[in-house]
Amino acid sequence: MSSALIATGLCKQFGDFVAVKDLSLRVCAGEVVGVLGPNGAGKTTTLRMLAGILTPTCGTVEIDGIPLADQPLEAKRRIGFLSGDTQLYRRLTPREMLDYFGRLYEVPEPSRTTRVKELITQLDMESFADRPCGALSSGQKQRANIARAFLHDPGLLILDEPTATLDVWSGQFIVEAIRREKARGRAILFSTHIMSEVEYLCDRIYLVHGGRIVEEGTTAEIIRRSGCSNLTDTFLNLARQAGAGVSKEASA
Amino acid sequence: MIRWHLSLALFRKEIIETLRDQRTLLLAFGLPILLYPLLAIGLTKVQESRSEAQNARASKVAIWGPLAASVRTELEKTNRFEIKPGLGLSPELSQDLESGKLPPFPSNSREESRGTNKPSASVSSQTGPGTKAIPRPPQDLGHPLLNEAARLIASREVDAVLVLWPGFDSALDAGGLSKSAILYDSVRDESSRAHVRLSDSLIDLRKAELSRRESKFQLPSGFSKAVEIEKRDLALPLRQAGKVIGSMLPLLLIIMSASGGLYAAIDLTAGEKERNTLQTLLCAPLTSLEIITGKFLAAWVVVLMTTLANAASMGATFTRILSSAGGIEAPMSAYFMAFLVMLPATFMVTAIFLAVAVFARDFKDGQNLLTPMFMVLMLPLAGTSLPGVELDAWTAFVPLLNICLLIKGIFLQEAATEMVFLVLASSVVYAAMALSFAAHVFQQEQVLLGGRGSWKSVLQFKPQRSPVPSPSLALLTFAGAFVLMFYGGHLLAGSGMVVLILMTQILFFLGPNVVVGWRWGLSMTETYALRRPSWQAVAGAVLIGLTAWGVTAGVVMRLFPPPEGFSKALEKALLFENDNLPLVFVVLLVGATPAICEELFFRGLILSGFRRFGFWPALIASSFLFAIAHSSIYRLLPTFMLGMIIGWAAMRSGSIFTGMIIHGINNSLLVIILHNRDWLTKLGLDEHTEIPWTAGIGMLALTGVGLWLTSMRPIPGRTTQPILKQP
Repeated sequence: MSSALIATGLCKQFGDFVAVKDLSLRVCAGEVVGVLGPNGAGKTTTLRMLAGILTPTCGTVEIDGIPLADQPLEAKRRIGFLSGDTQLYRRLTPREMLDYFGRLYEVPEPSRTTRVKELITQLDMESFADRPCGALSSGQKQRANIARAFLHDPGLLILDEPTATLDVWSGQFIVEAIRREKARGRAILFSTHIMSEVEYLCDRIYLVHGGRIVEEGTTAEIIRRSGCSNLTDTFLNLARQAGAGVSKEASA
Repeated sequence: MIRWHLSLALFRKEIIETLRDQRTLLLAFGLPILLYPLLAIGLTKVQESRSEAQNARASKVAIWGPLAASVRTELEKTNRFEIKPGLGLSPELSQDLESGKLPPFPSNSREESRGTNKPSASVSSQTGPGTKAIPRPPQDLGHPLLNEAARLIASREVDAVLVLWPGFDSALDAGGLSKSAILYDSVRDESSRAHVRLSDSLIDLRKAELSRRESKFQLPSGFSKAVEIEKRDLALPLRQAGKVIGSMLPLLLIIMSASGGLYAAIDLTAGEKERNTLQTLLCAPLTSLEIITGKFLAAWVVVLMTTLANAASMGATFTRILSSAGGIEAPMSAYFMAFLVMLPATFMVTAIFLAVAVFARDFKDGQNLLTPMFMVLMLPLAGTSLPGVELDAWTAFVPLLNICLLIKGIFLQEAATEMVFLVLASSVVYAAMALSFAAHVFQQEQVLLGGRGSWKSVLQFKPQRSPVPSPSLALLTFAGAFVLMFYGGHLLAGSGMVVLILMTQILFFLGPNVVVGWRWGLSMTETYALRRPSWQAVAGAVLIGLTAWGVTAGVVMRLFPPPEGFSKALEKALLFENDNLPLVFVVLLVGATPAICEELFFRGLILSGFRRFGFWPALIASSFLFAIAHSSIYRLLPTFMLGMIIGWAAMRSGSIFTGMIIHGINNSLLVIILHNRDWLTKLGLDEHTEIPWTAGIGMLALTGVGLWLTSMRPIPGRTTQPILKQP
């Protein structure tokens, strides 16, 4: 499988605070990779660096073989980014918002209008596509948001806790949408706190703590290596061990 | 290079969103459209009804001293007085006054210092703002009558006191001097009105008495008047209207326009942060310059709409008020000009607001940051109300104050062309600086994502060493040098032309260039093109240097001739008549020095800064700045043409020395000809003769040949292509 994303030796420092250090990961086409970690572990910072929102202090990112630092615009064209807290322009309708992002991603007409219509149908948005985004429910907003991320047909989807603020039904809708995209051969990097989503969706997992990767592998491999019976216990156990390691490192 | 279709897509979306926001619409259109008519109608009505009531009210006047029959008749004739003889005067004082025991009033230094000889004594009072005046504590005014009058007026029993000194009537009859005094409180409107009415009546009495005396003694008419003074105001009604409008409109227009931009700037930046929508934009394939350009355009359009709505509404309101007040009005074209002049000011204010608003975490924070900024920006406008502050070479460079004074000048029909140019040029430079700063701030990721970030890190323009400068660095260096040159030039003006030229070239062109080049590590070859030119380029440069003046003087200046006075002044300055300098020194000063300093600046730092935008944009932008730096509207076109020619040759040949040769020969030739006018005379030309068209076109052709020669062999390594990406 070809690598849609390769990150090598990523670091990010905000003043004196080191948020991410020496982090490397890889996502291949048709693969869903999970990034797990407690709050403050550096997941969001990592995903933002991978999406080109933040500039890494050191390290490199390649999207589909294109170096993000040198060709940011070309690389960003290949990324669809979505986070749980991303909001929509409240005075635009989802249709207008999708058309706007279609222009920004330089999707030419008439395929832009066709693509917008297609996504509205696929994501079951017909009933609210022409209502202002400010008047939509959280689930409807997230559907519109996911449509925005899928709009330019990116090879790589970076999803930062996309179901965090949703109810079970809306969350399930997003999860199924992710599975469909995986089936279409997209590479998906996905962070979440919901272990059932990880077990259901992810081919491989990176466990992040203190800005570093402390464990990686398939779900089954990680559970087996930890000696725990399920993913939740494995996660808690690894997080505790990593936390102790980080504390020791800090005190040393 | 900026992709305009993306910035315009962003702009379009921002405008749609903004126009769907009722608060913005209300602030931008609703407020100005309603505010001025309502204010005008309201204030006019209140003023009218108040003045009607005040005019109808009789002034209450206490008369102290024996009330002369002639005075009573004169006062009663007008029906404007309620006379109260002896009111408020104690019997003792009344007796002393009538018996002539009271001394005259002490001299009134305040009145005397104004040079007035009015037969009155002004009595100030300290009345509070309440409805019922509180008699102030006694204050010794140096005379018992003055003290009593002050108390009486302060108690509001009367509006003024008329003192008729003993013997008033008899002196009048005997042809002597009758003495009187009007005591009033200038702070109180009713008291001032009573003073004016009393003065008018007494003046009428005096006129009648003088006329009676002239006829009694058979004196010629006008004997007592001696000199008649007729006062005639030469200000045309248009200018009178301009004075009224010019004192209010610019101030209101700038404040209201800036208020419109304030809200838009916060909404487009801090508002987007607060709504968590900025992230989607930052992960889109857009540069931060494209984002800030789109947002800036949207905010600017809102400000422009606010300005237009305000100018139109004010125009309509002022026209209505002034025409009803006395039939005077300002032309509508003046309002339109005011709107046009506001363009660079709105550009600058929008950019500053946008740059500051980016720091805010949310809307409220944005208001906290921008309100003080608003106050700071509006502070210089207070200067417009100071006496003697007019648009001159100094104020032309004070941001916003210059625009305010220029609009005032437009309404007064006295805005000089050179001043208009300076104001617009400096405002465009400030606006460009503000936009560069906004773009710089927008590149700070911690500011965009993590709230305010560090002011220090943003304000610290950390030099990023690079072989060529960025466009914003080039623009900022020009702006800094331009402002320094202007004010520095004024300071050096007294030190003579030689010092002025040398210092201007060294301190304001070479100096900033050296500092920036050193701090940013600019390449001597990539930025300054310090390379030996090919012999063809040298030959071409010499040919251009010898003929380019013919293009500027023979074609451009024939089409757009400067005023004769301007040309004369320039010639006089270049002749250095007072300095008695040898020609060789003048050539070095005017020819060689600018050829080195200005070329390193304009064809080095500035031109290479814009090269990433492409050959022609870089050439046009650098030539435009070269023309602006010469600070005169009459030299704008010739210097722009010269800049284009030199820039073209320097870029095509790949060597700055080509530009230096052209510039040096062009300037030297000019001073050599000026110092040897007899050469022209021998050619049958004098100072009034224009260069014939044939000669102009011939020299244009030769310049073309020179340009062809300079581009024959570009030096390898020196790119004639735009730099698309900075290493």
